[in-house]
Formats: sequence, structure tokens, C-alpha cells
Amino acid sequence: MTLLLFLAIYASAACFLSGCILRVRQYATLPAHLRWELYPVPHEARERVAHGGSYFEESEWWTKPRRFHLAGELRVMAEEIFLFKSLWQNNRNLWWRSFSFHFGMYSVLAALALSFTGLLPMVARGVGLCGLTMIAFGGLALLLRRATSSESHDYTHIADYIHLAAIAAISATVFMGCHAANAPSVRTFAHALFTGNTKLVVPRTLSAGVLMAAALLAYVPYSHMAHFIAKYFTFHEVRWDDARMEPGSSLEAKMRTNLARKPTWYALHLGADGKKSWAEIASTNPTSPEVRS
Amino acid sequence: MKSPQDVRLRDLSQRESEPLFDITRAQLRPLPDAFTAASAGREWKPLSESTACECGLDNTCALNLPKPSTWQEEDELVQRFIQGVEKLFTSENNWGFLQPLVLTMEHCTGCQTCSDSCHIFEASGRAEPYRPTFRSEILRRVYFKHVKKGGLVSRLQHGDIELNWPMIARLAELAYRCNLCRRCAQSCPIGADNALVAHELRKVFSQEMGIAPKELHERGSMLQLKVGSSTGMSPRVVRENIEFIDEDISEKTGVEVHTPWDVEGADVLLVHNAGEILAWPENPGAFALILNAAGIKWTMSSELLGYDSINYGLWYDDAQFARVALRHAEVARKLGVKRIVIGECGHAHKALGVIADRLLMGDLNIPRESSLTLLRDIVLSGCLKLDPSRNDFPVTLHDPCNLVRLMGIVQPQRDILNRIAPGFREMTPHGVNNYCCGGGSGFAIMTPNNFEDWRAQVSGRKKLEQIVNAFSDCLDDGNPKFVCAPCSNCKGQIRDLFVYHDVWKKNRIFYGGIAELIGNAMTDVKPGFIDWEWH
Repeated sequence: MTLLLFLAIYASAACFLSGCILRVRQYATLPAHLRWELYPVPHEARERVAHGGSYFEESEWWTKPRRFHLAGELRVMAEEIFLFKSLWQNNRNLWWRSFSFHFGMYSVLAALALSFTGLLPMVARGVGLCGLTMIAFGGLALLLRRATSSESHDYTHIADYIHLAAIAAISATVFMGCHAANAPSVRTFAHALFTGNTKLVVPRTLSAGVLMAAALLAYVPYSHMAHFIAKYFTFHEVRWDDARMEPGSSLEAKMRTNLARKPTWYALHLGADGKKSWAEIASTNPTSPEVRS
Repeated sequence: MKSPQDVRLRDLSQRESEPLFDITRAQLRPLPDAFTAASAGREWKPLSESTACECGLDNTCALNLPKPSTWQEEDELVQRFIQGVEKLFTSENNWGFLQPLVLTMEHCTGCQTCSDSCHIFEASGRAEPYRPTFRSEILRRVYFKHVKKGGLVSRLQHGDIELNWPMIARLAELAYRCNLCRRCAQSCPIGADNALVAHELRKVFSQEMGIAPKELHERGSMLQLKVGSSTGMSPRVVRENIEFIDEDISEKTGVEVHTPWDVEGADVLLVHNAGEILAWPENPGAFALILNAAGIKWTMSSELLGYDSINYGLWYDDAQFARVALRHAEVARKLGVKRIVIGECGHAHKALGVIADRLLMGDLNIPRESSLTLLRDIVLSGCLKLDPSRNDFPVTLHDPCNLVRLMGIVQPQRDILNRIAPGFREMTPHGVNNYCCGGGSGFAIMTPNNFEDWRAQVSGRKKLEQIVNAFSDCLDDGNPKFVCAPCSNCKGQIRDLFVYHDVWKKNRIFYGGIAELIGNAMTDVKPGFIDWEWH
């Protein structure tokens, strides 16, 4: 039984990691896009961030060096990752559910990390159990919202219910498993896992919880639960991407590649026959007689 | 006909040709008390095109799509749409927006946080099809089914959809019930962008199916590429009109105003939205007055497209966008100017300043700058003699989405107003959190059927409320008040809003650009640059 459990964890970790790598690769290898930023951009100069300004507010901005306010960006990231600030500002009814759910996950991860070190075992256990409770509570609260809110009806799919119910159930099961008699400590469990000690006795409830968690973890990168990956791209690569075109830059090289791409759009005014590049199409005038014919 | 709040995704495929729902005033968000009675008297024009055209969404119609006459034609249109969506997700066809679009398709959680940010959804009394996620959910299902070729698991994860022509025709209309202001995107905790989805849907319809509003395509970007301006003004006509404006402004101000044309090597190539020249001539007139007084070496161009900064492709078609942007840069290169300065036009700022930034390379990468920063520098430099007491009336500022939320130009216009308008007060909210005027993404120039009723009653409703609230302390005092809107399309929308709701006559609220306020404060010219005459 323990062997099966360990194999499931190894397989799950492999699926999760490879899935995450594939996701990152999928988004990172998409072509460099046109600018589509949204203000405020937090790495802007300090004096402009407060009102959401950009370097376009400076006259002759192209003659001035770019200032990248890293601390500002890190602060906004921390507020968003740990406090869910945008939900707090825009959807308070969802915030407490989502905060409980996600902060519970952070707590469990922190507890696991602390347990591995062997330091403060009681604190680690307390944080972990508290985290599991928050996940279960937040998951059920989110599930309840989706099930009862009329505005969610058309936008919630069967999988959304399953995800939330599964996560709440897993958290509750692991919580109970941790209280089972003879439940090993995280440190003992991890040691056995990494050394292949299959003689370790794991209570059934805990085994069930860990097995379900392993199955879910393997599935996460292939669902929209992978939004923790997407969020890096939506913010850093889209919303905050205010990089300007510099002659000779790698961005310029990417754009040259893009402009050489050959579209196949069907509408006549484009004149896109799959042979002309975007650069050539942009140079044509659809109102001139030769193009229209 | 359903209640707007009860429409569901599957309803879009209904075959009945009558509109799915009716936006009646009783359901709209109430206006401030002062306007409720006046607006109640306005009747929407009946939708006369509904029998010949696809007007099956709500009780307005932006596209006038002809109805297919045979099943075969209908099927071809459905296939064409699916092919268009497939192309939307290929690097060859849509490299410019592919990454943000894929991220939005795959990671919107449907939490509806964005809904409360949308002025159209809110003003409509929460009509379900106007919810930012509604059209996105349809495209998302099409994406997972037809592009990703999802099976059973995908259907469980993302839902299913049965496409037919009535649904696609309604979706085409729905793509034109969004101002593309991206306020929804700003509030999304994941970073998904449902306004982008409306933009991309418009592209599928235009670039694959040849479907776009006449005002944006035939009478917009195509006319601009043909004669030089979507106003229809040829180079000769525009020069004559500017000459007339120069004479008029000279007479009005007592200062000789002359607009320089085609000056090679000038410091500034000023490009206005040509609509200003016809509809608000005092704006280009004020620019000429200010730039001459400040000693700027500037010019206008009489090359084709060089005198009209508009770029409607920004809203519906990447090829049209690129063509116009390229020509703007070519005009500047030919003249050898040091920089292009974009007049008071929000979408022109966004088009040439931001979106085209990664398209213009080599000697076409000519610096582009906002007129607001130039005007701010002039006003704060002290080179003009300005008397703020000439602007001693209540002034509020409208933030054009393209300039502010989408480009980060927030403070220069405020620096100017704080210097020259003692009665300046902000709207709530303002800056990057502003609300769209309701005319964004081309709506301000779109007038088919009763679309103007929809604009004035739905998309512009929130802005009207903001303006009225900004002047709540002096709404009925009979004294003139001024909405400063440094954007041509926003001015057009605000003008139409004010006419529709009788704002000027009832409450003496006027509107105009920021250059006019500067001109009005200049002590070297005769008082009364702003003449408070409605036109």
C-alpha cells in the first residue's frame, strides 16, 4: 500500500512538473505581440505610479532613459499574490472565499517546508492544519457561490464544481488523516518517500487523502487551475509590458519575424493570399484599382 | 421576447428573427433626478431594418447584416466564421494579439468580477448579454471545441456550443456593444481581458467575413486610404478649411494666425483628427494660436492621410490599422520632422503612440508625442501670458480611455487645468479608473438605425451621470459650466449626449477641448475665445 502511495506521488509530481513546463512553454513561445498594456504599470517611476502615469507623460520621452521601479512592481505582486488586492477592491464577496482558499494553500506549503527543516514542529503542524481548514472552508464557500449565484450559472462548468468539491474533500480527508492514530510526521513521511522506505505505516485515511491530492496535482496543469502560471504572463507579458521599440533590439528582431509572416485571412480588402507578408499587406492600399482587381 | 436579465447563452441560437430582448428605459439604471423626467420623454426610433437585416439581438442594430437567403449560404457563413476563429489562434494570422487572447481564453474563471466595472452592463440594468464575460464565453467554447478540438473532458471543463447562423449574427452585433475601454480587464484578478475578446471578434468578422460597420470601414478606413481622410476632405479641401479657420481665429482673437503647411525639417508635425477641422474648428484654431505664440517650429501636412490622425482599424481590423499607421509615419519621414505630435484624439494617440510602436522600424520609427505634454510644457513654461480668471467657471475633465487607462497620460492635462481653470473639479472616479464616454471604439461616429438612441441611453449613461454629479453644486444656477474632453470622439459622444438629454439648454453645461481653454485664458488675445454658442 505504501509502495503504491509513493509511486502515485512520484507519478503525480512528474505529471505536475512536466505539465507546468509545457504550459510555460506554450505561453512563452507564442509570438511577441503588439503593445496592449493597461495602466497603472507598477514598475513606472515612483512619481507616476500613484496616478497611473506612464513615460508618455514626459515631453521628448524617447530622449530620456527608462527607469524601472522594481520595488514598486514587487510590492504590487506581493499584494496581489498574498492579499488578493484586486479582488478586495473589486469583488469583496468573492475575496474572503478566494483568500481563504488560496491562503490555505500557501499555509500548507509553508507548513510542509517548515516540517522538512524539522524546526518548530508544533508550529508547522498548527499552520498546516489551519491551512487545510482554510482550503476546505474556502473551497466550499466558492462552491456554494457558484451553485447559488444566478450570475455564475452560464459560466460554471461541471468541472468547476468537481474541482472545488474535490479540493475541499481532499483537504478534509488529509486533515482527518493527520489526526489518525500512528500518523507519521511530515518529516518522517518525506524521509521515507525520498529513501524508498516502503515499510512506513500510513493510516488509511491519510493514504486516501494523499492519493487524491496526488491525482489532483497531476491534473492541475491541464485545467484552468493553472492560472498561477497564466497570471505571470497576463501581468508581466501583457498588462505591464510597456517596453518600447529600440533600434537593434531583440524586440525589433522578433517584430521583423512577425511582419514576414504570411496571413491567409479571406476578406477581399486584405489581399491576403498566403504569399504576401504582413509587411507587404501593410504597404498596399486596398482602394487602389490594382489591389481591388 | 425575454427580459434582458434572463437571456442565456443558448438563447443566441434561437431562429426567431425578432430581437431576443428589449432594452427599455424602465430597466435602465436611473439617471440623476434632474434628467429622469426629460429623458423619459424620449422615444427610441423603431428598428425599421429588422425585417431585411439581422437585428436579432436587442432593439438596436449596428451592422445591418443582410439575412442569408438560402440554407447553403447560411452554412457557408457558419463555416467561414469557424475558419476565421481558427485563424485567430494562429501565429501567421494573429501574432499581434495571440498571447493575450490565448491567456484570456484559457484562464477566465467566470468569477464575474469584471461585470461591475462595465458601464454598459451597469447602465443597461444588468442585461445579461452585455456582461463582459457573455461574448467571451461563446468564443471560449468555440475555441475549445473547434480550435483545440476538445472531446468529452474538454466539454466538461469548458462547456459545449452548437453554432448556427443566428448565433453568429447576434455575436457580430454583440461585438459592437462593447466600447473596448478595458475597464473590465483592469479589475480582473487573473488578468484576463474580455474587451480584447470583443476586439478579436470584430477582427474575425472584418478580416475573414468582410463584415464591419460602414462608418468604420467603407466610410472610415477605406475612405481615408482613398482620399486622405474619413471626413472625405482631400488635401486641397483641408487646406482651404484650415485657411478659413485661420482667418476666423485671427478675427476672433485679434492675433494674426497662420498655419504652416509642409515645412520640411520642422520640429513638430501636428496631426489632428480631421473631424476637429469640420466639427470643432476652434480646436485646430486654438492649437495654431498657441503654437505660434509659443514659438514652436511646427507644420501640418497636406499629404494624403497626413492631416487626419484617425485610425479606425484600431477597433476592428489589423490590416487597415497597419496601413494607416504606416502612412502616417511615411508622411513624417518625408517631411523630415523631428517628432509627430498627435492632436486631441484619444484613439489616434493609442494607435500611433502605442500599438504602432512595434510596427514602425528603421527610419519610420519617428518619435510620437502627445499634444497634452507639449501643451503642458508650454503652459507651465510661462511663455504664454495666461489669466486663469478668464476661465472662472466650473470645469470638469473627462479622461479618454485611450489616453489615460490605455496609455498612462494622466497628469499633463491636470497640470494645465490646475494652472488655468480655477473652477476645475474631478469626476468620480477619474484618471485610470475613469468611465468611457460611451462613444469609444467607433460608437461616436456610428449612427445606423436607432444606434444613437442606444448610445445616448445605454453606453453614454454612466458618463452623463458622472458629469451631472461633478456639477451637482451648481447644476441649476444658470451659469455656464464646461466639460473638458481632450478627444475628438469623446467630444462627439458628449455633444450627442447633451443634445439627447437637453443638457446645454437645461443646465448650461458646455463641452470642448483643452486647447480652447488655454486659448480662452490667453491675455494677448481678445477675451471670449470660448463663445458658449452651441454648435
